[in-house]
Amino acid sequence: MKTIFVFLFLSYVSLLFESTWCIFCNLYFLHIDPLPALICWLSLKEDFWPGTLAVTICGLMACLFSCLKFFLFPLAYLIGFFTVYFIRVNMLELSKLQAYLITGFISIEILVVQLAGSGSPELLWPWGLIQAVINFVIAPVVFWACNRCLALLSDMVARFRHEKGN
Amino acid sequence: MANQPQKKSRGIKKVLIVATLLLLAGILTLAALTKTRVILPAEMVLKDTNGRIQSFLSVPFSRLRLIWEAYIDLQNVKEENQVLKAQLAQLENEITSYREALIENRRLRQLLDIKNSSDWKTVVARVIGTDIAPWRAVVTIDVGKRDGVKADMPVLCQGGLLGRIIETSMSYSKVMLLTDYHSRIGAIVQRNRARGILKGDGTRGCILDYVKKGIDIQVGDTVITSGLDGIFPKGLLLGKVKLVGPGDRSDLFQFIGVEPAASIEDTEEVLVLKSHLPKIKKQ
Repeated sequence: MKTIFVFLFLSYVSLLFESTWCIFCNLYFLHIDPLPALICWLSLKEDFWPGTLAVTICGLMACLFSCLKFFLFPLAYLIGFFTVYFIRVNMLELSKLQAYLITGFISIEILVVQLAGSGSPELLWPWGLIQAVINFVIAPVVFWACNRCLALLSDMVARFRHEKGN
Repeated sequence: MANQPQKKSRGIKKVLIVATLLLLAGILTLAALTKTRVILPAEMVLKDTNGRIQSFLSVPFSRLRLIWEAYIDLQNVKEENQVLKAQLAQLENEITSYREALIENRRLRQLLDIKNSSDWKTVVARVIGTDIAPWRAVVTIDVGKRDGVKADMPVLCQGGLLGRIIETSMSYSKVMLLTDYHSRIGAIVQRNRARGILKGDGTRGCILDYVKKGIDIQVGDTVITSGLDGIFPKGLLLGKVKLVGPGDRSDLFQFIGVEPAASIEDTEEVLVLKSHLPKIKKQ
């Protein structure tokens, strides 16, 4: 539950940041997008159904900040979530670097769905791939922020319970 | 025997997954079949709430930018002063000729009994956010249905046409800029009336497409709206030609790059044209 709370909170904050503070700092078709890394982080921590629900909510939130076709964001994010979840459950225990690499790979998948769905698939080369590299580079920062937030929240909850017990 | 409830539970899970996927496919099919996007009331409320937060967050950002711009301005003030003096002299000449044109225009308007263009109903708005998909040049402004704003209304800013409204909620609207990848505007070259369609290149420029090879287009030519698209009134400034190329041998049309007149990157305040069609007085 705490993981989902941290995920949704940071998703909303990053959506607000992307849509307000990054107004004119996009470089061509590139921007700083922490959402693929957030989805990857959640996929490595959360169970199937709660994770699916959280990613769907995150996708629906993203729809509110964009003019892209409805359901394009939830669809792209859910495919990303399912991919990483499947790898985690059935294949291997991911190291940190592998987790960051996976963020880059699911970024490509997310962009394929979004670009094709919005009628601009030709932008995948080279912009989509460069964006995936950027997402891979910022993934350690996002993972660190998520883990830090989760630790803070866990600490707060433990303290609250302790005080309530006393 | 003990495995039977487990098998049953797995079966239910499989059915659930298949049902979810079918539902998803159904929703996507419906979404694809619906050509005009319908905004649900709940979505509208959520968009308004987000708009308020974006509006609040955009204030410190614009202040920071003002400070930065003031610093840059100070650096360039000497050079600019000289350039501006030269431009002033040139503009004075132009103003004289425009005055003549204005007087002539008034006379013609009186003859036609058409109301003056100042009768256009407009509403001023502030840019508060942008689209999270970086390949879409779409911004959010702080006026909506409550202010009488509807889809397809033209949006102007300092310099010229900025774009058109594509989506509205109660207090906020989304504007597709003329540089957007999906933007198409009927345009003409002011000097020789050559018609074309102005397409956004997705970054910061535009392309004037469908102008036949052989038509004389020069760098610096002014491009204005043609009014043929039924959305934008005729004569709004779009930009200036910055590049003319013959294109490939197989191409039927020229390649014409256009620099938008509107300051796409610096825009903070915009003007929405609520009604722009000239009204003819009834006899």
